[in-house]
Amino acid sequence: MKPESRNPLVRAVSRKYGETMKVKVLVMPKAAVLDPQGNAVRDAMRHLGMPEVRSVRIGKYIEIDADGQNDDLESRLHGLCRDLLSNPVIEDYELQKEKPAKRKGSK
Amino acid sequence: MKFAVIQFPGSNCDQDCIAAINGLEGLRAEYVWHKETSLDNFDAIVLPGGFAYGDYLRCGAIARFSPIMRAVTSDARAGKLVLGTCNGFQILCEAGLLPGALVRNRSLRFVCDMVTTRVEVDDSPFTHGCQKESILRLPIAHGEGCFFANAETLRDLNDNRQVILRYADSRGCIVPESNPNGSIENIAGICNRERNVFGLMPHPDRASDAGLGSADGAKIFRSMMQAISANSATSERAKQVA
Repeated sequence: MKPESRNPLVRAVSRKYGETMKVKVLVMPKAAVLDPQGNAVRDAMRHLGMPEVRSVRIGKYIEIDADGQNDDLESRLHGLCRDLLSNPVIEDYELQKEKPAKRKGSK
Repeated sequence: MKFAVIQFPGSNCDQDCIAAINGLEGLRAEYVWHKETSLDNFDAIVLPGGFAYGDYLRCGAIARFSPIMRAVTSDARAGKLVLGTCNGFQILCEAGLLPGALVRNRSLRFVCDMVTTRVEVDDSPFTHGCQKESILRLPIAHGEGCFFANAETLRDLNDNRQVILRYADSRGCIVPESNPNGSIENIAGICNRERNVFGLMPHPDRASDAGLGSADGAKIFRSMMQAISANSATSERAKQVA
């Protein structure tokens, strides 16, 4: 862990120069874990005229804004995805990094 | 003998635990705020029920990072008795002190009821005052009490006799109808491999006085007390021999 990334001054500079990271985290119940909420919604969808629906799984979607863009920040985010945002016993997570907001050079 | 009852923001059975423990002769309980960092002065630790941190994210997910949890973890590793009831059980699982996890009840409903549980293990520090396969009548009140563990963990739990309580009917039969929340194999309470950390969804704290409909919960606190005094007697004797 780099201590300077926790320095408020460094964070303020990152913010000023647009070095921010937008991250989306998807947390889904593992396949082996019963998802009664998903099943209830699946049944409701079938009752509402969509018998095609085979299964519904309900998870969580979390949006995170952070100052900075380095790999250290990303690996620490992964650490908290495992320790706090998801419980590896029952859930899997996926961390999606949004492309930096700066226009130039975007594909 | 002194028990610590940890108060997290959102705990709501802390007073029940204090009353149940203080009601037993020889036992005294004290509140410990979750910002504290030491439990050195206590013989046992109780994590009460409630909704710590509003159950945000997942039940127990945030509480397990409270400062006191560092002391709970180190004391648990050192062999001190730790009891987690309801939300306390969820926190112990999130903290990795107990295997498995507690997820949404299969019915999707919050259940508030009196249940019967069967004592599966009568030689744990928490249940040695109960007869094997005897019935404990205990209240439950939870929305996320469905115990889940993967196949490997479940095998370990059974092989090591870590399942302490199962939901049973009044004759002691383990049947689907007696399972209030969809827990795997009707599991109501488990301990760790070292047998000094015990978590259960039912509330022994709310069943420690016959006037409340059951005094079976007191058997758990009393067992803990006896286990602790037996343990300190043997270590005292060991000191004398040495």
